[in-house]
Amino acid sequence: MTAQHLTTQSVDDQVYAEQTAGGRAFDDQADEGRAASARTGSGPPAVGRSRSTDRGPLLAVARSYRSEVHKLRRPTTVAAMGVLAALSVLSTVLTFALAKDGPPSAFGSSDGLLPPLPALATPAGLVLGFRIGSTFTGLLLLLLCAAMLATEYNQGTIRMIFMREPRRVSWLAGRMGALLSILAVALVGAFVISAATAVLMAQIRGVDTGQWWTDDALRRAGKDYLNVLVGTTCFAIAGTTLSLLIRSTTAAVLIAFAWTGPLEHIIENAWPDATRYLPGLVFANISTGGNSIAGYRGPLLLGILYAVALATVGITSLARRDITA
Amino acid sequence: MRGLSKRYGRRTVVHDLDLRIPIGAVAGFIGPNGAGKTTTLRMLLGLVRPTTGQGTVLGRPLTEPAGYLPRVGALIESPALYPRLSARRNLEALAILAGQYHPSWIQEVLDEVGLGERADDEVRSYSLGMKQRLAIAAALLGDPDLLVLDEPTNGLDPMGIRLMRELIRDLSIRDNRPRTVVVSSHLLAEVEQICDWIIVVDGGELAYQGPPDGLLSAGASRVTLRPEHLDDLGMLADLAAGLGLAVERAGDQVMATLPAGEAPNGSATPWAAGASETEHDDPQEAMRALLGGLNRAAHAHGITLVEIAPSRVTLEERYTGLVAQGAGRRTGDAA
Repeated sequence: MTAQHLTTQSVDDQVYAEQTAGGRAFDDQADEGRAASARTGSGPPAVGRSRSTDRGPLLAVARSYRSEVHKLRRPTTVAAMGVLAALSVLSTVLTFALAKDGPPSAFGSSDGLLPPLPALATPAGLVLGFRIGSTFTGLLLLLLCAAMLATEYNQGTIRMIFMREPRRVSWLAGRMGALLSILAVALVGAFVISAATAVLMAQIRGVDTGQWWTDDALRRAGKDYLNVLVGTTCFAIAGTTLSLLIRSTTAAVLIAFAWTGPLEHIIENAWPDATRYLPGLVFANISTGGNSIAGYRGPLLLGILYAVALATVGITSLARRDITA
Repeated sequence: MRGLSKRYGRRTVVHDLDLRIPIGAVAGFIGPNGAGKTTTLRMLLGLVRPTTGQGTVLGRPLTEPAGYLPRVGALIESPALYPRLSARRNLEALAILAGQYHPSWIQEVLDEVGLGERADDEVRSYSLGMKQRLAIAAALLGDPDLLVLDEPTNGLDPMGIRLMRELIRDLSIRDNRPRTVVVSSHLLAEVEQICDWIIVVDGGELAYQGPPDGLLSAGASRVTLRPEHLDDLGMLADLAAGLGLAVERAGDQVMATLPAGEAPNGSATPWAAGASETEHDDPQEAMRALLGGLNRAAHAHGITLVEIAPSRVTLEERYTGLVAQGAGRRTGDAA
């Protein structure tokens, strides 16, 4: 006798774990007497108190957004924002402290990483420190995004999430939306603190700030903020995709760090044109408003292309792979 | 669900599983480690995509989990929670995600699992049992029609296990509304106490599904015989052996057991001779035929029986037998 033979009923005369949308069993009589105490209700079942119905992917995005914002309201998020602000302050302080006399045009060339003092007195001077530090901001976001999503896999919380919201792409969209919203706010904070630090440092270094508050200067500041936001968004997408592919916090962070840290810069040293093509360098160029080698428009277009490609790979992986965490 | 299979590379984890659970049942899902229980539950919950097979859950296709998951609560494997958030914030985040958020409901489920007073503590300060209870609270969010609990008593102390048992019983009858509960567990005594539907999987295949009585009666293949006179013990043992039963004498009794794999159903057998020439598809009917056959044989030889009774096997004994049969079959297939 095979074990299958022990099944006492045929498939067709069984009641399946099926209900109509209203909750009534398809056939709540057929199994009576066999599963003697299987509790099939005789009357119409009560409607659950909070039935969330299938209302489409956009609502799922909104719910995911709210849920992620709710989770991000915690001390570690404030700490991360503090680190972001501290990086901007540090970058601004170093920009002013290490600035030397020299022609303003020297800034932006391949060997002119830091601006000379006269460049700090131009309309761009107010947020130069913030702009220069944005590469570190991008790297920080890359590592954070890689670590945060991979941790969802490591902790197993990803399965709790997808048991509640099976529309995985909608969930990811909401999550990225929440993350980037908080990033935008954090960058505004970092921007303001960096500007305040710049004013203080200008007084210390004797930099003329007359051109900092003109319309042109404020327009440039706005553009710089947007560049940093776009660049860090690209870094965030790269980090998220990496974690979706790797699914391990340690491995994702190590790969992200190794690629954008030593590896790309070693390649760049051997091949200067790498700054035009390698993703980490391209994203950094967008954040800093371009440089004399790559320009601005090229990195912007290529960076957006990279971001779209990475997002596509990440979404495909998320949608198709099983959740075994 | 019909023909459900899951393969990882060349390894088949679940093979051609036909699964059915009555509405309102408390179904025990049991099987040895690696039997495919968790993979099956993951397929049910949309976490793992079946390689083949189809089915419906709560009337919606398995391929569209968004259609039924809002009415399903689940705990799969170990509790997965955000350690730096409080229990309340953990549940709030999940409830918001599912569109089922209401502050009083959060408090209700926390109270239900006995965590009401620790609701605002960070989860990292919780014991394993408390985390388990919080994960169950998460599964209860939204008052689900189908509750899937994978090893829900893991990490719970005896009181916690008892509370869990009562909770599962209560859930299945609460509000006079049919609520189906699927419990995967290794604690067979627990399953036997609370479940009215049993599913046994072994090696990724279905070994049994149906009411517990069906499984237990199919395994009730042992009969205790006690003659009036001790002198008749030897003859009684010979009679039973002559009917093809394995015989063992124990004190003033004879224990007659059907050989392994021959539960009293299926074809007509020597011990049923004289009773009926028909086959006994119903295990209970077949057991009655066995008892009648033994009684007639004893009477024909002038032996008066003062006791003749089928031994009640436990779920654990029956389950062990099933798993052993499955292992033997697979070994045979491999050979």
